[in-house]
Amino acid sequence: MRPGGEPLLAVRDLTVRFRTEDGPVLAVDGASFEVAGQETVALVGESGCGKSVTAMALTGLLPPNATVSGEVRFGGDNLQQRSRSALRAIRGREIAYVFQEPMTSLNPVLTIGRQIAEVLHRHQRLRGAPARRRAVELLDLVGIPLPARRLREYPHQLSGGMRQRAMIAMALACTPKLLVADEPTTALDVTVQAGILDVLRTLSAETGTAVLLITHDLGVVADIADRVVVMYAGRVIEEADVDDLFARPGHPYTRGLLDAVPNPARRSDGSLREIPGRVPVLASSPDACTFADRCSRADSTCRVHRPELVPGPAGHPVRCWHPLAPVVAGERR
Amino acid sequence: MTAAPAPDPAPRAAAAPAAPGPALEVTGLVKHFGPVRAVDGVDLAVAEGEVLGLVGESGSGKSTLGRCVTRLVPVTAGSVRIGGREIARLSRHAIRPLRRGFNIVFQDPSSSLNPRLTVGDIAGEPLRQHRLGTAAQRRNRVIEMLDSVGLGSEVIRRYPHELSGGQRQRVSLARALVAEPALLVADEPTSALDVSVQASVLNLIARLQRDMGFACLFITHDLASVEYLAQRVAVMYLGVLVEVADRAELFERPRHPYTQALLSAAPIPDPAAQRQRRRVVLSGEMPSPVSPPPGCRFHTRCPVAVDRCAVEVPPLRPVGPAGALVACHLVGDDGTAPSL
Repeated sequence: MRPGGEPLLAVRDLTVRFRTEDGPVLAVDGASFEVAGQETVALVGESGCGKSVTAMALTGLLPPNATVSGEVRFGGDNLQQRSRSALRAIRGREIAYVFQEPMTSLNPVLTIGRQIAEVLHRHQRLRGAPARRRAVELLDLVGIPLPARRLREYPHQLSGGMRQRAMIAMALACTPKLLVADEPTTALDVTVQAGILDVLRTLSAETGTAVLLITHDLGVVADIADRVVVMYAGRVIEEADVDDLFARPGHPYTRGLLDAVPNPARRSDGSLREIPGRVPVLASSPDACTFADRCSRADSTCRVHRPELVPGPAGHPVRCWHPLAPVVAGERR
Repeated sequence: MTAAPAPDPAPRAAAAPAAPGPALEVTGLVKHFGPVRAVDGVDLAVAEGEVLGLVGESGSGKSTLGRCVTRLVPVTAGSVRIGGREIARLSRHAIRPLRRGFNIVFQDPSSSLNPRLTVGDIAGEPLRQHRLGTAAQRRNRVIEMLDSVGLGSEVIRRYPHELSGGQRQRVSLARALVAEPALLVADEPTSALDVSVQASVLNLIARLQRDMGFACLFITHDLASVEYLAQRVAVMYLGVLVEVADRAELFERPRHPYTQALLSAAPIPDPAAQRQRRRVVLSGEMPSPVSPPPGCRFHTRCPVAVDRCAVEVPPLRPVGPAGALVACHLVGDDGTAPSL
């Protein structure tokens, strides 16, 4: 399914615990997944599933009350063993981030051009005219009209969509190998989102950058992901190629998520599927399926034995004792 | 919901007119905030028992419209009739007794619920305000209403912060509907919720609407939930309506170029179908409502605009056999629409 050789990013058994006033919280519970070069992988789940924490943990962006274990291999290098300053150098140059709200990541008192120039100088020692040329190229790449003029503007002079494009341009300034985009279009209107998704979709083809997309939006996933990793309560519960996941979900939670979204393409006259209950907040990793309490297929096994992420009936990995069998085409709903 | 009328202290009187008329009728509605022309001439009606979806992006004025029809803000000009009764120019005081006939729920229930009141007090607020029934009758009605939004009577003594986001939205629905209004305005009621919770709140609104029969102005940016819930859909852009049509008509034959672009931009959760779709990416972004473009407000971003569009304001007029209303010079009277 994936090209041979070592993947660009390999996360093994990543575990993140937070010390909080209400006691310990297990945010990520032994997550393992890979991202190959030029691939767009979506890390999907609802709030509290651990997807953003996973993204931050990759390069040590978590606050001091977090304890991280496991292995993050990037280009063959174990990032967990690198110093803070080494990670800082990797961030930006090799792994770049784009967050939901660009206004909080841009410096309001510097022009867009100055901010891009700083990145180019810091990581590539580019200055003056070459830096300027590169900055114009980058703004053009992300579809900002009149790029030379935009360079002289401040973040507040740009609209939300243009700011997010500028953020992506900055993230791409050093042609990173991996772009981590955490809900990059969640704050934007759909017609603006469409433009940003176009940029992300063409990115790997034009720059060779792989994308790890963190999102809760299955429409966005269907639009730009090659592969999908579904998280629930800190664990990876399913992983598949995008077509496979939407056509043959194996985990009851994945299926529930797909059926909870009103979908004109396969409308039924019935009501939307509801998932009863809520995501548990865990202090430690239970020897059980963390979805069992909300699952209609759960039995005693699910409540006392931890399911592993193993190939399910549709062939892709599923963490479930009773995974769903693929439905024959036309039979669904 | 059981149809038990219970100790009905709230017969649907004031707001439900004897004469069959629209539950809500808005004519020439204008709302300016200083120089900001948020709503700039809207005509719209919601029939009794109908769910009308009002869709638009941020800055379209859709939420302001919702606040005008519930008179949470004063109206600059135009008429708002609820159950035949004109409320656009009534004073706060004069409007208070009429509020029983309409109510609104918002996107973020945590900021619209008073944190110091219990769930029971919050849900019973409209009954107390309008002095409906005895204390015992009100209590029974609150329990019944909480039950019909899927909350057990044990939540009655809880405080909003003890509830999940989905439960809080259920409480605001219970409050909005406890006095059986004829009109519910729902402003992005599921946008702050997780996908799985969203589904249960959408199902709940659909069921309550079927059971109680109120008219609903459902305001959202989410086309999928409109398609799920609404019978008719109005599309708003920069303070004006550009298209109004029955749900199936609008989703199958969007005519206004903006509606076409909006529908094509919303990703659908189906990778195979998504790859087959052609997407119209609009240039630029919504202009400022302080100085909306002359002529058709969409002409600055419209891929098919002609000279006339920059000069002449297109009226919202009926086109095609199904009675859709479209404000576009390029849409023919027979309903033929420009292809983008």
